Amino acid sequence: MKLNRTLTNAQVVIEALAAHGAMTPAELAHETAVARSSVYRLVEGLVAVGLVDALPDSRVQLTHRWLHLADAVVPSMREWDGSSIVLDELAAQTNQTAYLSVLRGDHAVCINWAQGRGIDLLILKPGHTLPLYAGGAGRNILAHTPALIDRVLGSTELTAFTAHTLVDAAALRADIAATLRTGYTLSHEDVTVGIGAIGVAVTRDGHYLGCLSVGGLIHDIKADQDVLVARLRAAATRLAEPRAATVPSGA
Amino acid sequence: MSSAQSPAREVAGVEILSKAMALCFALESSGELSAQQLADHVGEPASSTFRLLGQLTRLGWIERGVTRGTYRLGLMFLTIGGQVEDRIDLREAAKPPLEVLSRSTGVASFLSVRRGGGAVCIERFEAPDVRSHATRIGDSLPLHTGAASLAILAFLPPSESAAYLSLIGHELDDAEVRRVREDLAETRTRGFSLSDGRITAGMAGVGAPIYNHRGELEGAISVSGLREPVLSDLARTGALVRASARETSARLGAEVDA
Repeated sequence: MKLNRTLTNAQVVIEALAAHGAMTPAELAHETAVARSSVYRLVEGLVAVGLVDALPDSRVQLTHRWLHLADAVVPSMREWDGSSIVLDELAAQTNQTAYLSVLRGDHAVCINWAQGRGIDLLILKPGHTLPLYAGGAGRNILAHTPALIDRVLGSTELTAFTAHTLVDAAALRADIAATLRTGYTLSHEDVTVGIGAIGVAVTRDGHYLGCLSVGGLIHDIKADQDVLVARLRAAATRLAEPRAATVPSGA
Repeated sequence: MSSAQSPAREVAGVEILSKAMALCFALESSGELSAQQLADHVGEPASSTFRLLGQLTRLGWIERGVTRGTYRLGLMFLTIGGQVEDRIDLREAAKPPLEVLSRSTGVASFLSVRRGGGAVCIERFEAPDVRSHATRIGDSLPLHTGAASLAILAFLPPSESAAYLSLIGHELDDAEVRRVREDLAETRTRGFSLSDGRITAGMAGVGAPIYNHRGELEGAISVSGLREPVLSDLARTGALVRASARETSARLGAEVDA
């Protein structure tokens, strides 16, 4: 199936506005390499559906309509019904921030979180993504998605976030093996210096659904590693309990 | 959602965009729908709706739902919405309404947020002709003291305000706790808080809560100044503070009544 050009162009225009904030149509055309005449039409179409509005200075921006669309996404993921309670309890027990992340495309997307009491970690929060070679969530998802391993490891575009980011294939293969052997993934400052995380798999009916993780100061994560792993496993077991909705039919 | 049902104007050359978003808005309000239900909803033939659903699934705008044969919104909306939310700056959102509020009331206006058991002032505008020294940016007051604090405490989720009240019960005597409870009840009834001479003799303040797009309490807008300009027409001051708080909430993406 060939993708419709208007829709793919709309997608890149939306992504550019999300990444850079308000821009003029001319700047958008330059940024996206979409023809200026097409950008004007797309912007007009996006304004008509309420996704974009024009500022007095001729720049255009994404509207607050996106906030409400975003809020509707996670409640419709019924396979995660009740996950907020589990995340809140995990954050309260561990004093760390708890995250639930799933695979979409070739990224780990955080869909829910419960903030810990210590520090605000803003690298991962609902709607934020991690590549599959980085972070507890990214690497746990990679380890449990065999179909993507060769593609991710074969990529020449693995950008290091810190000196600890795993960017070579051998190190990532060893990490995948360690995740599968121990049942958890340890993120040791590989996304943010000073920050660590531990991720475990959530599986239901034999399907890998996503990664449950906790993140915080690396010192705390390392010091409490065994306790955190035990708490994560107990919480993941609760998330795995069968519920009315099980697994997306197309997954 | 307000605009889910209203058909969008079609723009020549990009009609597919309005058809695509009509499907997404239907899913936004309904959660999960089958292809046939979606086709009925937008009034398009099932075959063309099915093709469009295939396109949108590939793009990540929608995805398969848990019930067989259904669709739901895709995570594209979560990731883009997350980026839009990241750009929202509470102080920037509050500045224009605060400035208007100072001019219309003739006293200083403040933006405050909760930090633990206190409300911290993070932005203020001076009245044109008076400079008060009551509250400066960075100043903090306990949640039961002052107009901004009371506006926050009164509209916190009940479990959180109850936890705070039981905490201060250890420090205040019963009569004082009773007075705070009465202040909070009045604040909820009026829709704005009133603090008269409790912080500084001769000064009065009025505050109202502000909310984000999820309906969560973000903080409070308040005014504070000499008693006369604040209290001579309390209903007017209260209405102006509430309007400023509503405007700030709207600028944060909250759906507010006009």
